[in-house]
Amino acid sequence: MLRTLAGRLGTFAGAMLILLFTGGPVLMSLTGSLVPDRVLFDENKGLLDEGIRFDNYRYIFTGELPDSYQQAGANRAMISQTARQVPFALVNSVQISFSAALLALLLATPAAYMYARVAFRGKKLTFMFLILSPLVPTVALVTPIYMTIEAMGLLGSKLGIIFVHAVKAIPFVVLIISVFFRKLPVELFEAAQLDGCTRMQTFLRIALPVALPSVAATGLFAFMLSYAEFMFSMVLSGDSGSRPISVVMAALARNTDVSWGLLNASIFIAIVPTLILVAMVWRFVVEGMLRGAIKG
Amino acid sequence: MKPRMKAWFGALAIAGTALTAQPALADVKLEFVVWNYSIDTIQDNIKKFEAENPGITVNLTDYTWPDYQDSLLLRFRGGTQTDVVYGGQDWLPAWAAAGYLAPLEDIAPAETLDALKKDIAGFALSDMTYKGKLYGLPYYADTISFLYNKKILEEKGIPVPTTWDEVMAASEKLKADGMERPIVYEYNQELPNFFDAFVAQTYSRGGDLFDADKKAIFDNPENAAYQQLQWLADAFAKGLVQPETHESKIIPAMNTGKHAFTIVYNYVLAAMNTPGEQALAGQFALAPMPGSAQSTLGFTKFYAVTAKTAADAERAEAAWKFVNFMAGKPYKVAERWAAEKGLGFGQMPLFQNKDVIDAWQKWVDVPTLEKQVASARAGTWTEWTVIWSAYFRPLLAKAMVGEASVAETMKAGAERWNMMQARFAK
Repeated sequence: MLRTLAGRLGTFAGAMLILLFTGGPVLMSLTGSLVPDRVLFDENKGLLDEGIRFDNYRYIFTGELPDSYQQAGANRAMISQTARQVPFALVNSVQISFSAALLALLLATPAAYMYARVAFRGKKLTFMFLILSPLVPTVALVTPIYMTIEAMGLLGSKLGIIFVHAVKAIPFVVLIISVFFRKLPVELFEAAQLDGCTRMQTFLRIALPVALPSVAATGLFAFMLSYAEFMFSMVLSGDSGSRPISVVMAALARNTDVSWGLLNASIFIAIVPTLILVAMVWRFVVEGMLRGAIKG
Repeated sequence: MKPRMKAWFGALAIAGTALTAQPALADVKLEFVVWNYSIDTIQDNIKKFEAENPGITVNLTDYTWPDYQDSLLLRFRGGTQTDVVYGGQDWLPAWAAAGYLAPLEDIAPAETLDALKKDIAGFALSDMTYKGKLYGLPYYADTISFLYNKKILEEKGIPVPTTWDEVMAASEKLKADGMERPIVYEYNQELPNFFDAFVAQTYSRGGDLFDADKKAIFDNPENAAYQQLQWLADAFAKGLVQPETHESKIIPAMNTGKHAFTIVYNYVLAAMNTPGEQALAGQFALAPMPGSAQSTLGFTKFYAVTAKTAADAERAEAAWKFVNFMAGKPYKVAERWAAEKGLGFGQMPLFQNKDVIDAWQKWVDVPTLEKQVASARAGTWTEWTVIWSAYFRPLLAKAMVGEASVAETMKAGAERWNMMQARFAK
């Protein structure tokens, strides 16, 4: 009885600790976005002494200045117009990440099938090369990739970022899906061969339909890799028309001239859709990936 | 006139009209690269420029401030078309030496430049000059200021200090009266501001860290920098200083009423005096930097034209028109930044501009600031200053809090500077 209680308390304490580090920042952002800076920094005032205000959200979505900055003599340098890019950058991020994930799947799924099921010369070497390529530090690749995208005339476009994000996701997608293809029973492919299927038909009609949940889960993983990527997004995007949310958030968070309220409101707007998406699909991601690992 | 002749004249007239109807410049699309501060305002300024200059369009690209220099270097090295950029006094020697930027003398009419130079504050002109050539016109310029809480000093009957000894005496009096730490100081060895503030204090004593040949001379105990570091170490040792890691933390700290003095860039005063946001807004004022010279350090960010653009006559002409619109007479764009955003400026006539005065007098005494700006000096910017400063700042930080002696710190800093100077000279 005592042991069960101690176990439960331990679990509760562990869960609370995790919640503190995951939910804590979200709660802090929400609070900071609703409370004016003057209250936030005044140790003599309670957080809710002046009530909550939605000024910062109003500014981000409509451009109307927070009330305290409309007063005569207010220094408006702390109001960063970059915050107004947040909603549009979210849309950019979704477009870029979705396209990058789709492109990565289109290119990597057949490759994963080949590595898992077909013997060809140089298979081991190219597979190792592909799988180990993410070990190269991103910073080392910035200049050559920048120059390649520049030469392609895609600098400052979403397409350039999509290409790079897709290429970055391919090793992971190949690795995860090839594990799944390897676990499929060999009899399945032998039967397809006996029925006269070509290699491509076997892939499209037999392997792919069976692997679809894993492919979709891996696609979500690629989506998230792209959504969170910063370095290439920063150097390859040119203006707000192509700039994803990771870059806009960096612009706000790393600029000390942005008011805390505005920064917190932007953080909250940026993370809430992500949190909802992750909460909705994470179960499928994990299930899909586990299926690849334990099937057969 | 015969019909055939009429037709010829008609054709010639049409051709002539078509030729003369061409704009002075063929269509040019300038690539303007900035760090992302107030992009909407920049875009609006660009629209106004385009309306006044048919045939020239401007495409704006912006990067985050911390990544700006690296991103821009990537563009320079990658050959990405880049025409006009935001430059900075600290980057200029390296960028100009590498051949990335062009002197304005190469693309602008000499008489226009001369007229503009006369209006620019001395420190700003120096910040934008490399090897005797002018590389930009000011976008934004500011000085480090000595700020104090008027109300506290009035209540305690303390006159505004005019020397560092008076600052020490006033702080000791305030401490004796119960104010635990009268001075708030931006203490962060990672920040270039940390070194800038120290240089400003040295200038206020009428000294310099370097001689005319740019040799380090601050290891001499008679040097103003040496004396000021000793002063800071004494102030820390007496428990008079509240260190804060960033200027953004100094704003709320001063607004607690628990501190009376600070040394920061002038724009911090604007934030400290923002009514509605700051509890003690209106209580803070700027005093001339204490010391015999009452000088300070200024910095300048500026519009610069790339060497690649300067080499193309058509683009160079368009780029100069753009730079002149953004920073030249009648200083409308600089006035807008100053009045709407509180940004400092290098164009001295703006101190007489009614709109600027109306906007600024709400948070600063404009004549005092004008005097401060007029007497401000530029930093010593060389190809190695940024690297050396990163080495020296941690030493400076240790000496202030008594973890290293002033003599050892200054000796090590001076030796490193002179060694780097010799190395770069080779």
